[in-house]
Amino acid sequence: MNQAVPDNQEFDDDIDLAALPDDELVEQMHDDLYDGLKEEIVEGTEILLERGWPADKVLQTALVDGMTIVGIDFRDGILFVPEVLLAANAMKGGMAVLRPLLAETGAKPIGKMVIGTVKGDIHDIGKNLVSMMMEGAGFEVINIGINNPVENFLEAIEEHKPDILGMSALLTTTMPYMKVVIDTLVEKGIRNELIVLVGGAPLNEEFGEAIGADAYCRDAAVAVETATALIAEKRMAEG
Amino acid sequence: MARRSGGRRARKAQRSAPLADAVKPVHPGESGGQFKPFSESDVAAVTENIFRILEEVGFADATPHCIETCTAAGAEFGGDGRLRMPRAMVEKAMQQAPRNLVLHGQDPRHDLQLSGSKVHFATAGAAVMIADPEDGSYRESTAQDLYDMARIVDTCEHIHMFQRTCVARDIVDNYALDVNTAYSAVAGTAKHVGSAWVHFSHVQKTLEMLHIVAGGEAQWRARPFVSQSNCFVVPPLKFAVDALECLRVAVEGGMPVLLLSAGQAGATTPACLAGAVSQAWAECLGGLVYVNAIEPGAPAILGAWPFVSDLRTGAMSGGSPEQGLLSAACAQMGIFFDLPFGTACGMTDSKLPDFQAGAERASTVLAAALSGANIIYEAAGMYASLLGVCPESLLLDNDVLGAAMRVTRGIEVTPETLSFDEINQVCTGGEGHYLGSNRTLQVMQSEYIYPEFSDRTSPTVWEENGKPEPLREAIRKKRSILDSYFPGHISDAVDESIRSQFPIVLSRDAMGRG
Repeated sequence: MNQAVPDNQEFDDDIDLAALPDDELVEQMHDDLYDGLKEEIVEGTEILLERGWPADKVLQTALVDGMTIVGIDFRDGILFVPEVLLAANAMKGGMAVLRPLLAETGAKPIGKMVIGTVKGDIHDIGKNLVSMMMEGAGFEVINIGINNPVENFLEAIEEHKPDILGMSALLTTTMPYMKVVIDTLVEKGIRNELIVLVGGAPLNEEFGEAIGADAYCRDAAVAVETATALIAEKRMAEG
Repeated sequence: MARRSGGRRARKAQRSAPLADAVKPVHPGESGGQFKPFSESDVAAVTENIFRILEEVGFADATPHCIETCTAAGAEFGGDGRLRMPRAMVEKAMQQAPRNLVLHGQDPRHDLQLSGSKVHFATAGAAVMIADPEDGSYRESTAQDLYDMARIVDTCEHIHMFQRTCVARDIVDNYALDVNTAYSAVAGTAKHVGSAWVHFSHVQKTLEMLHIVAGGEAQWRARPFVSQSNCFVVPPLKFAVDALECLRVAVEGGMPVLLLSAGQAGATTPACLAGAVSQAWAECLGGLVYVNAIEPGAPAILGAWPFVSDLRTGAMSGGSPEQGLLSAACAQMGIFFDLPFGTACGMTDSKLPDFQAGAERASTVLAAALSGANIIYEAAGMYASLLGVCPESLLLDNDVLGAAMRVTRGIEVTPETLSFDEINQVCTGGEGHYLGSNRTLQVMQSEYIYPEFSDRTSPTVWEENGKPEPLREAIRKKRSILDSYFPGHISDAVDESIRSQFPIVLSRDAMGRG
C-alpha cells in the first residue's frame, strides 16, 4: 500500500472495491487517485465499466473529477510534486483501460498534446511538469524533449495529430524560435488545426500574443486550465 | 610656522581612503574549510560513488569530437550511445588539471589565486529582469544594465570578480548579444570577468576582441582576464552539444573555463543531497576529462552547482538552507580532490531586497564560504530564484560578503592576541578598561570589519538621523556611482578600434566618453 496512507486503525486497507455501491466506489477512487494507487484505479475503472457505466462517464466522474481535487490541493500547497506525479500515473492506468473504449464509441478524447522545448534550449523541468499535469488531467501527452528544431515539431504533429502544441523556452535567446515554429505551421497551413500554448520563465502574455500563440501559460496548473477551456471551445466549434 | 605632518587633515584623508592592505580585516582568498558537511568516511563513499557514476552510467549526447578525443584518452563509447569513463582516465585528467589557478584581472591587483580552500566571491547569472527596489517593479534587463553592474562591482571590495549577471534583452541578434555581453562587462570592470556564449563562432570573434583589449594574442594568453561559464552538461549526465563546441574553442583560445553542472536536486539530480553532490561532481569531472583530452592541463574551474527544487511546486529555490549545504559539500569535495572549485550560493528567492533576501543570502553564502569554495558565484545581487538581479543589492551584499569573509578568516591565536599581559596590566594597574589601550588602537580596524550600510546607532540617534534604511542609502550610492564612475582601463583608442570591428551597442556617451 502507499505510504501516504497513515497507519491508522480507522482505515481499512483491504477494501473490496466490488462490494461498494457506485457512489462510494467513486468516492474511494477519488481517494485512491489522491494517494496514487494505480492498480486500485484500474480495478475501480473496470468495475464501473462492468456495471454498465459508459466510458465517458467513468472518465469524467471517477477520474477527471478526482484529479481536479488533486489539482486544487497541489495549487494550495498541500500536495507535493512527486505526489501529483503518482496521482497522474494512477490516472494514466485508468485512461489506458478507457482509451480504446472511448475511441470505439466515437466519444471525443479529452485531448492530445505534443510538447517540447525549442531549439537551443536545454531546460525542461518546467515542460516536464506541464506534461505531468496535463496527463493528470486526462490528456494524452507526447513529450519530445529538449532542443527541438522545427522539423521535430512537424514530425510529431504529423505522426500524432495532436489538438495542442506546447512549446517552452527558459532562455531569452531561444524564445524567438517559438515564432519560427508557429510561422512554419502557418506556412504549412496547419496552424488553425492546433491550439498553440507557450510557456517559460522569461515569457509573458504579450510575447505569446506577439508570436501568434493561442495562450501563454505561466505555470503547469494554468496550462491545464487553459488547455481544458480551449479544447472545450474547439469541440464546441467542431459541433 | 612649521607644522608636523598629520593632524586632522591627514587622519580624515586616511579614514576616507581604503584601508591599507596590511590593516584590512579581510582579504580576497581568506582560507575556509572549517565547515565540513561530510565526515572522512562520507568523503570516501561519495568519491567511490562519483567514479562509479562515470564508469557505469556515463554520458549521453557526446559530440563526435568529444567521443573521438575521449575514447583516444581511454573512455568507452557504448552501443547504447553513452560515453563511459574508467576511473584511471578520470584520475589522470584530475592530475593533469592545474592547481593554483590564477584568474587574471585586467588590472593585476585583482588577480585571484584559486587554490586549497581560498575563498572568493563573484556575481553570476542569466537574469532576464532587473529588480528595481525604487518602485518595486521588474523590467527587462539590457546591455546598459550589464555595464552598470560591472561598474558597481568594480567598486565593491568583497565582490572579487564579475560574471555576467543578466541577459541583454535589448539585443536580439545572438552574435551581437554575445559580443556585447563580454564588452559591457570588460569595459565596466578591471576585475576578472566571466561570460557565456550561445555559439562557438561567437567565442572566436570575442577572442579577437579580447586580443585587442589585451594588446595582442600573446598578451591575452599570458593573462586571460575573461573566463567562459559553460553549461556543458544537461543533468542528468547528457552533454549539451552547442556548449561543448563553445568549450572547445575556449580551451583552444586560452580562455579558462568554468565547467558548470547546474542540476536541480529532486528534478535533474537525485533529491537526496549526497546523490546530488555525487552526480554534480561526476558531471564536472566528465567535463574535465574532455577539456584535458583537448589540451592537457588547460585551466578549468570545476563548477558543481547543484541547485534545489522546491518539491511543493517544482520551482527552483536558491535561498533554501539545503542550497548552502549542497554548495558546502561540493566545496569540501573540491578541496579533497585539490581542484580549483566554484559553486553557486547566496541567491535568494525573494523578489526585492528585504528580510527574506538578507537572511537567505547571508545564511547560505556563509555556509559556502566556511566550506572553502574557491569562488562562490551568484553571491551578490540575485533575486527571484535567479530570474532577477538588483544593482542596488550588489552594494548591500558587499557588506554581507565582507561579514562572511570575516567569519571565514576566523580568529588568530598568538601570545599577543591572547592578550594576557594586557589583561593583567589593565586590571591590576591600568584604567580598568581596554578602550584606550595600545593594542585596541592597533587592531581596531584589522580585527573588526565595519559595514557600510548596516545601521548600528541607538534608537534615539537613528530617529534623529531620519531613520536611515540600508536600502535607501544603497539606492543613493548606486545613483552616485552610475553618474560619476566611469572606469578608464580601456583606452579610447582601444574602444574606438573595437567599435570599428564589432557591433557595440553601448554608446560612448554611456561610458562617460561623449
